[in-house]
Amino acid sequence: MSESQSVGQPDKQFDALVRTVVTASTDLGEALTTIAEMGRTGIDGCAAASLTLIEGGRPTTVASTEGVAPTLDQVQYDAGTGPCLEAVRTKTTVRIASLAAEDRWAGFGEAAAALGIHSSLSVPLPLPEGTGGGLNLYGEETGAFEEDDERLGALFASYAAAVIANVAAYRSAQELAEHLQKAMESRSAIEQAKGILIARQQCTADDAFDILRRASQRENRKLRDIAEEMVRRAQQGG
Amino acid sequence: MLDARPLEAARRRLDVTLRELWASYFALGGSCSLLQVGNHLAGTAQISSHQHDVLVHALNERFLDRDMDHPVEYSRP
Repeated sequence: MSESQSVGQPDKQFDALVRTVVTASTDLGEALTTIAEMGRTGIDGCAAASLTLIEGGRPTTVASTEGVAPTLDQVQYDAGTGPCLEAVRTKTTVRIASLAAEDRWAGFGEAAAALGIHSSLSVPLPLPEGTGGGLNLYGEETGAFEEDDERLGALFASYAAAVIANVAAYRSAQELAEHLQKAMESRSAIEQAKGILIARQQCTADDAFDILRRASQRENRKLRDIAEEMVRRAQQGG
Repeated sequence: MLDARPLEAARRRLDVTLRELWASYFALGGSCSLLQVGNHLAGTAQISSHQHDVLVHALNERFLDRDMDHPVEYSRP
């Protein structure tokens, strides 16, 4: 089966995928749900898909399509083992044609069969050290996934990792901007207070800072608070 | 000649990174770059005595948060 056949309309699919990656800002869940949904519709034989993220050693399902995926993920988390966790741990794709015939994970095959799932494809997310994650694809048929699907799965997993990295970068940029905003407010108050002192005492800007700094030292108060108070008083004509 | 060693010792004692210290210094109106401040603390270059004192004050305000009364000396009293 060729790749274009297996993904349906690849151009539209990947346009949408790229858009998801580029526009993902704060809502990690929504962007990853879109990717899980695309994994389900884009990979033939996939009945349900989800994304596992491991932070601080704890796996959680951060996004999934409707259906059995979160339940099957949870069975693995509770057991501490399973195809998805195996894929994350070994950083290799785990493709299981028949979960019932697989004896590596006791009880998982039965739990899956009870939910109508008989095969799986688990792809690790290429994330930095210290974090881990996987894309989990579940099939209703035995042998639902083929070798070609591993490549497609890896592609979806890469996009998911890019979204996660983008969101992390966005959050840290936002934090930096907030710190900078606070620093600028503080600087502005201190500059204004220095201006007031320069006008009143005909001193230099450095001398004005020293006056504020000595007051801060004497009163055991933050220099910024003293500056703000001085500006407030000046505004009131004090 | 300004001695920046007590400042570097204080930074380590406070367990703040150079970047964090520079951010506090910048918020107080300090005008030297992160690199210049880093070089000053490392003793490989000097900043002016005024900028040195702004840096001292950034350290002392952090000590104030721990109820310690301005342990780092200013270049000007």
